Amino acid sequence: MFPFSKGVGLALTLLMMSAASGARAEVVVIGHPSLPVNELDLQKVKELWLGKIKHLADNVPVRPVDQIPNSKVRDEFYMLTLDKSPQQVKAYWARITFTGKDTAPLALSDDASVRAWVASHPEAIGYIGGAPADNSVKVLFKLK
Amino acid sequence: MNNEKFNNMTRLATATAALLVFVAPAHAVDFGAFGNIRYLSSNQDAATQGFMLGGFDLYASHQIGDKTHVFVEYVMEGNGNTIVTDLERLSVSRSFNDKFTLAAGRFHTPIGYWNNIYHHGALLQDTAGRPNFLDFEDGADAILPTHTVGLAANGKFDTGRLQFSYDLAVGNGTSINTDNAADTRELEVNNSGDPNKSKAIAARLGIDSENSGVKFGISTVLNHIPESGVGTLGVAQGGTLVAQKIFGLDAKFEMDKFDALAEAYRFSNDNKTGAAKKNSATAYFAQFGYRFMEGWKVVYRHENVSFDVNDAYFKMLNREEYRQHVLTLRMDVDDSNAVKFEINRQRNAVSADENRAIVQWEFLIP
Repeated sequence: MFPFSKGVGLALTLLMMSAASGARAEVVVIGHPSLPVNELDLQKVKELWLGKIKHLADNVPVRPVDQIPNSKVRDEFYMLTLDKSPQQVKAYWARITFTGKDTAPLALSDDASVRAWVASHPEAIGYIGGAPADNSVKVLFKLK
Repeated sequence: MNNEKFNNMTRLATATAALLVFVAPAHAVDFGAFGNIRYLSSNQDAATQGFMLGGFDLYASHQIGDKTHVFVEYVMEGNGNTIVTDLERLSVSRSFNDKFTLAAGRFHTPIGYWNNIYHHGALLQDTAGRPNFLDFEDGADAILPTHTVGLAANGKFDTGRLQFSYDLAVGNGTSINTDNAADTRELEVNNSGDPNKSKAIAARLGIDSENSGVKFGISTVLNHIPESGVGTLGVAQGGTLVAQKIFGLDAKFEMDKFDALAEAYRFSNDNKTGAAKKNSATAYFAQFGYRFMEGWKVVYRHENVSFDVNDAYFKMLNREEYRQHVLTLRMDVDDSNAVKFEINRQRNAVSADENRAIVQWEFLIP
């Protein structure tokens, strides 16, 4: 007969694993440590990733980077900031690109690539799922 | 497939392949396309009515490194029973900073608001068609140089409350071939050389106030329009047909569900043929839109072109004065497609009035 305590433990473990897989990861906006801005608000994040502004206060230039389409973190980011689906975001940037005057943010493959890029480009800001593992980048805004 | 179509498709494929060769690992080429299908009913000849394939507009944009950008746009559109392929835009640009970007190639002439914001993608604009007088050079009503082949510079200055922008262009300028029959003449963009040594200059200064939703612009085009043919009006090839100055004002206003856009142009034509007289002409439109519910918008536009019947510039192009009323109901199905229901009434100075009803389905492939 299967020991009761082991059965309960197994059931609890399975329950926790399923809860973890369905949990929403926190998405954070990160910047280079030398960026002379330590926090952003939601409005600024929206304007930056829609290409409406290229500078922060005191004329600080910033260059947002994106993650590639079909990235779950990307989809989460745009839903939390702009309330837009991946298709809507794609259509928005297609219209802007068509003017010939601007292009969509550079798209990187995953969280690690975004972290590495932001850590090596002083003007870069990006977003990743979860807090950064080290001080190579700093958190500017948290999206939940 | 005939030879011309094959050659056009080959050029398109070659241009696309050339773009792909220069793709750096982190910078993908952005492709997209706009298109539209329409049904037109009018009081004109039956041959001009029915279902029509609108333009299919294919574009590619590529960022090379941080500062260099390449853009190309091809349009395929119906011309009777044939499909014509035009290279509408091809440019390479280098952004040194927000205040200065230099570009070379074929681009939209920096005149007015509409010509710089709305291109061949009908989905972007609120009405089925452009104002008649803003028609592209190969259109039946074109009177303005909507494209330039040459060099351009642009930039922005943000003072906080106001944003100033400038667009400058110097290029080959348009020409007219009077050897062609009057009803087939068009403003030639001159993609491969200039019939005269004089270069055209165009400039627009924009002032935007994002907080109040108002944008203003003033623009000008200066061009000595040459004869590109052997010449039938007493001007030799390369000689000046018209020394033209165009001044324009544009204003756009947006607030909540309401928006308005107006542009006005004054032509000063110093004609070197015919009575060799200086003439002035005006062209303007005013458009108003109201989004009365989610996804639905009603738009009204009035257009007017007036000129002296003896103005050789308009006679050469076989144009006539007109007034037009346009009423459009726009239904946005989603972010990538819309349907427009439009009626317009055009009153011409010479030919019969035209009444049209259009249903147009437009889409974007992002």
